Amino acid sequence: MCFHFRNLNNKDEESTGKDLESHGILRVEVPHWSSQVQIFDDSFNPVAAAEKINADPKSASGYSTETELPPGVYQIKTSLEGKTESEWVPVRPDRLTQVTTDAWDNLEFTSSTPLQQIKNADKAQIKAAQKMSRQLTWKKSKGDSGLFLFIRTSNPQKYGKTFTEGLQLYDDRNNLITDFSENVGKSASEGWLAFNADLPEGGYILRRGRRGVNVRNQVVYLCRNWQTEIFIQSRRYPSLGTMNVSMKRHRSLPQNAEAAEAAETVLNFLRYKTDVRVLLDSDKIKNDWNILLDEKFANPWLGILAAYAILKLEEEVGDEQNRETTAHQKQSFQEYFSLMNQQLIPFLEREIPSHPDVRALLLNNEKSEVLAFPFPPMLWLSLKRIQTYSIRHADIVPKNCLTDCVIDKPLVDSPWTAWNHLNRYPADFEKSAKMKTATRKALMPDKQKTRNSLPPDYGFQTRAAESDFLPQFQSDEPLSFTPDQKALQHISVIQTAKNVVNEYVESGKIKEIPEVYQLNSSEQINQMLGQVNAEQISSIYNIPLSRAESGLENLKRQGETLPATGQSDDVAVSQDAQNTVSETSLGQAIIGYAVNPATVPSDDPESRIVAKPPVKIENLVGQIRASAERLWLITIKPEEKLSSSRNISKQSSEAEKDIPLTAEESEFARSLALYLKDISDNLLSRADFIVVADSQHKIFDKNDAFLFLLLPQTLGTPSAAELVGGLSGKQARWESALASLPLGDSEINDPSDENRARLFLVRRTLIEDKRTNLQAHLNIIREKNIEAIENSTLEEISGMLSDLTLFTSLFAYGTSTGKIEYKKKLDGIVARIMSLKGL
Amino acid sequence: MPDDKSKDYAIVIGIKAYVGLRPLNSAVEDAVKFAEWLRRPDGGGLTGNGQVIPILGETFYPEWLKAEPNADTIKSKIYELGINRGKKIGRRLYIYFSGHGFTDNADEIAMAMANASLNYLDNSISLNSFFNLFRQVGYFEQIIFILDCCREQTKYNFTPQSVANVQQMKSLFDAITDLANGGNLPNATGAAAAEIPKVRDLFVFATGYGEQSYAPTDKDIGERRGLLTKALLEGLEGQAALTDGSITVPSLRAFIQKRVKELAVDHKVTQEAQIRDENSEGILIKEPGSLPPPSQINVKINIQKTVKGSLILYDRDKSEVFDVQQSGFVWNIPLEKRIAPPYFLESTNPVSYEKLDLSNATVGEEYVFSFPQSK
Repeated sequence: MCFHFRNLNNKDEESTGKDLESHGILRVEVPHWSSQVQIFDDSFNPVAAAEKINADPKSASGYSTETELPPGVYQIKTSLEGKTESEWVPVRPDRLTQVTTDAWDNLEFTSSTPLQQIKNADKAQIKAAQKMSRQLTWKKSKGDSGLFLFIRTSNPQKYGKTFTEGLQLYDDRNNLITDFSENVGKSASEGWLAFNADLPEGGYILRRGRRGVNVRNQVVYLCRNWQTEIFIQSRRYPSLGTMNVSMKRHRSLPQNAEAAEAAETVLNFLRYKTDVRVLLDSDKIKNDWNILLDEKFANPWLGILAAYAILKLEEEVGDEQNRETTAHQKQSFQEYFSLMNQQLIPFLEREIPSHPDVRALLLNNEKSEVLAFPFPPMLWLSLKRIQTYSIRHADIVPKNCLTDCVIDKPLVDSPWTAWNHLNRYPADFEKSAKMKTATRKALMPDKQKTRNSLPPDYGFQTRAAESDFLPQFQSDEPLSFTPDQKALQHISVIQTAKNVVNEYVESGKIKEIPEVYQLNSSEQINQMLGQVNAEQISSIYNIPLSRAESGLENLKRQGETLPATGQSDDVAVSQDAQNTVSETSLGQAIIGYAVNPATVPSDDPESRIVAKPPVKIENLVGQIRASAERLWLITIKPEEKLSSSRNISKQSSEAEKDIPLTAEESEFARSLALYLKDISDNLLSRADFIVVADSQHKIFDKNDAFLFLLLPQTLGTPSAAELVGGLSGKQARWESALASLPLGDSEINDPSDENRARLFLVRRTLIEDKRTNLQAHLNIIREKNIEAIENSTLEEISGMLSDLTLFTSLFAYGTSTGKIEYKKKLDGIVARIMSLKGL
Repeated sequence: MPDDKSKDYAIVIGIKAYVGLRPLNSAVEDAVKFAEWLRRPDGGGLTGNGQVIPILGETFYPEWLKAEPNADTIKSKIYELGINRGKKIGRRLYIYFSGHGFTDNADEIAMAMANASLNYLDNSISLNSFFNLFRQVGYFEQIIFILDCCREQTKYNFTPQSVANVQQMKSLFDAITDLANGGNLPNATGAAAAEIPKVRDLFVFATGYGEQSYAPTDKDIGERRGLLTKALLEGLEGQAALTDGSITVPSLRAFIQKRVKELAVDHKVTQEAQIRDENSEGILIKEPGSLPPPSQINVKINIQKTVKGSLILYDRDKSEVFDVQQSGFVWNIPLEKRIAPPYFLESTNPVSYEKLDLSNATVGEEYVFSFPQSK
């Protein structure tokens, strides 16, 4: 066992200062001083006060935690480096239960820096790191700062040939500096590679990527007159997420093992997002705080880490909703906050003022305007801080710089600023003359491969094919919609159609709709965009203000210079409006916001109560039809079910267990499904079907009611392809039929189903912009000789839909014992629907 | 006093059919099974009309942006709950989601709606928006989130949608509360806000950040089941109960974490549930006595001849002594089966300890244990 008992004596009581007559002591030896220990009672409730790690010379690691507890059985959970192990132990009165480090065999402190005191270190690698950090390997290199990079593998025999493969160093403009194939020190048999060079101060990108190895980019920043040391662990290939960093003033200085261990420990807390209070409250940090403060004079990187740990602490202590903090802890933490503001930040600002991680620490509401971050910081927490401030200050992240590109897609699996592929790159990246083709391939995502790696696409692309303006995206082409001028024109038409419907249709004045409706699309777009506030877009979508401002300006510019229809393809779109995914996405966001701007709250709370949206027939139809389909599906024989879903997925081709239904239940489900289908058809016949077609008579906008009109008349969900095929055919017939109608009122037989004698009334309006020759048709269609349904009836049906969905799903998928109750509930709902007037 | 569950609500979302993502054949049925537990008087106790709000997506839509349920469906259901009235709604809200989940940050999950596709994940609902809305505005005293979905990172850029404008809703709630308390607008909203009790919450995630969750075919029923939902329902049906029959957040957490791991191993996959319960104080899943007492196991302890002194059995804060000299080398003792804590055995001569774990013992069968265990 990993624990043993010892009887307590007076000496123990004296040492603990407690009366232990009815209590015992639980002492847990921890695998490392940065371990976290949680103790739970036999009902799994956490026992507080077991968090502090103390120095303990008797413990194998030198540290333990001790807690006085009432007799009982307790669960101890110990965590280190993101791994957790647990153990149950008994605590008896007057006895000490000692849990030894054997209990945590799989927990060990590791570091990328080869250190004497860690388990994953190798003597040859320790020696090599010490030696190589003090001598140049690239003798011809020139610059005012130093970079020492040390990569090591714990299994040289197995990975000695590959452990550095795919690693490259680029400058801030993406020019390849080295792929580490030369000017390095290396021992494949000992599993290490060292690179030591003088380089100009500034930002660099470490990239791992080649065929068969995922691309990962990570930021490194070198400061003038300082040597930055980077340590990376590798298995088969280098793992950039494991990076540890230190800085020293001169190449000739020896490495400081304790400082490296401290840096790794703080990084672990950032890496595994553990409660940083445990770290800063530990004996080791408190007693050896000089590691983070005194040593900072030799290694400012530790100062940066300390500052971010304290900032994180500030955040955690500030979040009182989340965690309790004792008064004693608060006082102790207050000292950290003063220390940071009075000593740490001034020191860092003095020593390495250009470092982006230091400059990010200086951000505050007063100072932020003067700081810009064209190159990202090394720590992800710094990037997050920059992002927060960039929402309020446009100058912090200049548009299209690397920080602006990275801020959309940072990887958050390590404490470092890293990314795989970006949606866009700074312009000077792509223009780089020195970039090799192979390198470029590693940088840019392989489009074909990306497509092939996507899961099967079940998207319905018919609508996207109808018109190229729609804000919809085919799933193999990220965000294919660009809010260009043509799109803006179409949006202005839709907005106009919406206004017409609101003005005339909702109030029952269809006959009064003018046959021709004049539109000034530029004015309409400007009006829409005029309601958009760049600050709000920036804040809602968490993007730098500079980009929101520029995106909005770009759209406004396009709106002001709308071309004549037919020429829009020839319109020269500004560089800013090229199809970068980010711009595209931003354009949609702005348009979406323009169409539905946030309302400004009024002072009167009663007036701020958000009104329930009116019930629409098509919403009811959709939900009732879904319930009908659900019931219908459970009555279908397994082979039919397979057939009907054969194109849905590979998974669904596996035979699923048929839900056993009695003949009576099956009959009930079938008849109820048909009844619900009739109800939904009945409701649909009362709806207004609204479609907007372009000058070529192609429908580019339709309401849900019209969509339901195109759906199959029978129950049983067809395959995706059948559904889309059927829908396209019916829509084409409607397009032809509507094209032949005059403006104003007319009648038309259902063009999609000649077997059903249904007559529709159509009110057709031309929407035109004479300035741009834009033309579109708004068609409002109603079934003839059908009475309208009262809103109160729709409200009543709406009130039943939640229960209808619940009980049809319970009847379909719930336990067989509950079916009687569910059937009774469904009978009740049907009875209520039948009692409604007008159905 | 048992909790009044007539003011508890649940939004249960299960999405099987996606227009641009792989279908999830277990999602709807998992959601319905959970809804069924919620409605049972001896389960969640949400027996009244409209207390369980199901939002299911089983069938395909021909217009994929309009496929349902989509973000608007969720928003309208949230409004149906009554958040637009700016008043307290009830005691507890369950939010269950079974479907595709994505993330680009450890503190967020995008719950993909039926109209989502890999490169249009904006058609998803932000977990944080749910959390912020219900944490910051006191509609409910307790919120329980259960998300049986993956938390994979995606290379596509996206922003999940918010369920509501939190600031707007909060200011409305504060103002209405203030009016109800006789306050005068517009300056007294702070006082009203201060009186809103702290909202407690519990998050049950199928998996850790960046990881996948699974729904393999269950051998017993021949259907796909989400591992989290299966473990959750087993726990709620009684396996996570303490000896007094209650299910507490810690007991449910311990059971789910253990059980999901076990189920994953059975299906040769790796999955570990993650539970965030640091703000769950006061949430009791089930009251004491509402479940049958745990079953007893007949334990036969074969004591090796090397043991000379007494054998002590520790059970929580109690102990029982067996004298080997007087009673021989076989100790038959009935013990209760439970998920935890284990029992402990200590021999006085020679001094030795063993853990006796009955969590996997079979009720009705004798459980044989040797002391000390051979190394």
